[in-house]
Amino acid sequence: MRLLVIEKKVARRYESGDSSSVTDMNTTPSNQQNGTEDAEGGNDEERPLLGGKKEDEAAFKLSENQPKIARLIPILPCLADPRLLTAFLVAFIQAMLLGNFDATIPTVAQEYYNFNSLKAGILFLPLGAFDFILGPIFGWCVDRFGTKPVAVLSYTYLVPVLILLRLPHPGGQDQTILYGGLLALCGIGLAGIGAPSIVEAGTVVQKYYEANPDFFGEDGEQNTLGNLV
Amino acid sequence: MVFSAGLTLGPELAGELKQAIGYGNMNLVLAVICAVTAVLCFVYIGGKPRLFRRKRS
Repeated sequence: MRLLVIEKKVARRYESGDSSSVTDMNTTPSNQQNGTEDAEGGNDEERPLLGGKKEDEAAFKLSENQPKIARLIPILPCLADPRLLTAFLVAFIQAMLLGNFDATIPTVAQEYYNFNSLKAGILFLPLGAFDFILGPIFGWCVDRFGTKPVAVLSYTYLVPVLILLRLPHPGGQDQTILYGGLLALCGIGLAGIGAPSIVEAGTVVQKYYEANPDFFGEDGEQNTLGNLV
Repeated sequence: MVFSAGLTLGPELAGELKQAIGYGNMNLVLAVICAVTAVLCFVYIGGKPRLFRRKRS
């Protein structure tokens, strides 16, 4: 449990005199230079697994002559990147699905099974419980396998599950249990799509920041990005 | 902002569709949207997939 947290860019302001003591902050440009020097020395552990760091950086380099408004609002050139836009889309669709369930489950429960508010609320339990329990597990999967497999698999998984939601019909307890079970499966899917969305947006902006340190200045635009998402 | 926009549009869209074409078909429309998003994720999220990289080189 943490008692005190110091944000990286705040710590950087106070530690700027002594760069040798900085061991943990692997995002500053000076540490990047140390990393490439080690790689040239034949240190296998520092070599990235996929592609090259330099080819990655070239993709995120912004051109030198940016229009004035881009200098005023540094996040604007980043917003042209399809990867960041897709990350926003993932978050948007996740929120849309959540809103969809919030709106339709009570009315379906009322129409099909004559549930009052309490029972309709109980119907939210499988959806929420699986989302809650599996959230950290999918977070671990994103750390281990990357955002792409988790996002693609979760959305693909949701397609048949959403189609199956047409199965429950007005009826007795067995239909209720069927609906609850299907909602639990939807909860798994929602947990899966929740994990990669913000992680991906943060990663892309971090890469832009590392590739263009002079464009973004001392403080990153992490706060702007956080507000955008 | 994006998340809140989704939470705003979601219930509206879901309600409209449910009244217009029924619950089952509304879920079908959402499933199609999820499928499109899955394809977009495959192409764009986490860097270009290996298929496209091999074609270029």
